[in-house]
Amino acid sequence: MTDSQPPGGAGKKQTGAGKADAGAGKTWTERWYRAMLLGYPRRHRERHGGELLGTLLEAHPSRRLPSPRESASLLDTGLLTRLRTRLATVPARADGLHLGLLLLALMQAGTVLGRVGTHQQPELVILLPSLLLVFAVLLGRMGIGAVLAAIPAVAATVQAMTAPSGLGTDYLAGLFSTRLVSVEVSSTVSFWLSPGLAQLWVIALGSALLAVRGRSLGALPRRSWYWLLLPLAQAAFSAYSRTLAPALPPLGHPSATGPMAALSFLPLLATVVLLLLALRATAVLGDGRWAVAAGVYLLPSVIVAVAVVSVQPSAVTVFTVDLPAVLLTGACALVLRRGAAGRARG
Amino acid sequence: MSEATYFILAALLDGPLHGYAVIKRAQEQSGGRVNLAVGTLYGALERMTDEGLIEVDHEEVVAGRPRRYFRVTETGRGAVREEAQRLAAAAAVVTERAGTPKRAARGTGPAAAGGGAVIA
Repeated sequence: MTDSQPPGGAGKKQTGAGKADAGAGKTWTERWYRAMLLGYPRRHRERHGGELLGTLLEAHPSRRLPSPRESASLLDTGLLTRLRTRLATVPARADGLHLGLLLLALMQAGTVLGRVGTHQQPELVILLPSLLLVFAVLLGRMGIGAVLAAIPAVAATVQAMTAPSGLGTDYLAGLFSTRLVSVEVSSTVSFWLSPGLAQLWVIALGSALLAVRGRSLGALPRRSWYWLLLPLAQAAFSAYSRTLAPALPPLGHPSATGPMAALSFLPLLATVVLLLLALRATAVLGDGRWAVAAGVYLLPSVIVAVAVVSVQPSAVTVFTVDLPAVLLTGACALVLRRGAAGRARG
Repeated sequence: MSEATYFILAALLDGPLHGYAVIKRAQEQSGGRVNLAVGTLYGALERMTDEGLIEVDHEEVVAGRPRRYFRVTETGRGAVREEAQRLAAAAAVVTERAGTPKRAARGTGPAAAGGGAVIA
């Protein structure tokens, strides 16, 4: 059998004779590869999924178990194809800002959802706009998003500033990172130590910026509804954590024993995986969107870190959780610069 | 140009091939060094099609599955030739030095081995 075919044979023709019908009995391996193809955009999968499967089975005819190398390659290429087909309709900076704000809004919604039914349940003025905000950002309606983010941001800031302790309500105190509360702070800067508050303000200001510049940038794309799975997963994760530790630990005494300690690494793991994907997309596609989005996503952490360091310079331990994320974003930026320089030379 | 792109284009110089044939040909021609995963190959083929280096020649249905045959375009042919000349020039920096009569007369091991590899 020769692999070369004479050129010019346009059109489709059936040449299935003599070959075992690979589509007849679906093996476990085939089903596995089919699942790996889910990383590709649906249209691409419908068009070329069968061809990829055929080639995979042809390349490894005697293999009874799926190849880990082929599986990893399918996931990686599928994701890159997905990202490549999402061509930006607006400049990369605006698109990245939108994506970063969406991630923050999702995280905020997940946090408030996770606190529903606990003694840290946020008041309606914070809960409702935080949830509606996600839909506004998903739809690219940044003007509405700015207003919806500003309501809880202002409400929480007022609460923080008027509360005698400088921490505000239970909900607000809950927004403070448990790893920060050992830092003794004055009430004037204390609310800047709240990642939740910093998040809300970043979303409000970023959305306002996009809304103002929006007319000259063009319509922002609508994002996939699948993003909603993130806050739902986060809320489910919070609920599950509570079943392991029925009473939330008091502030300043983070419970970090047993399963809780393992669980506490999950969000960090998710963040690092997302940022690694952003790094890969930046390196391969040379598209700055992902680095901008990662930077926006990390902005509240940076604000909090600056606040902590300014209050207590020795408290740099705040970076223990965010450091991998910050390093990865830096790596994204570096790779992008080198890629751009390489293209300019080449 | 990446090594994978180079060997994919080189594989298509003799005529249109389908995905698996490209993998096999690239593996043979690179002495087994370029062993493309299927996902990576098709990712590269899509990208190279977008860049105009290759194009779909025709499509067949084999055992119920579609199979595209790719062929190299004139742009792709030019690009791979240019890369080959660049590689040859880069190789010459070393091989011509090793192959100079004075050094070859000494019969040093590396020079003899290098010469053998070139002939093979």
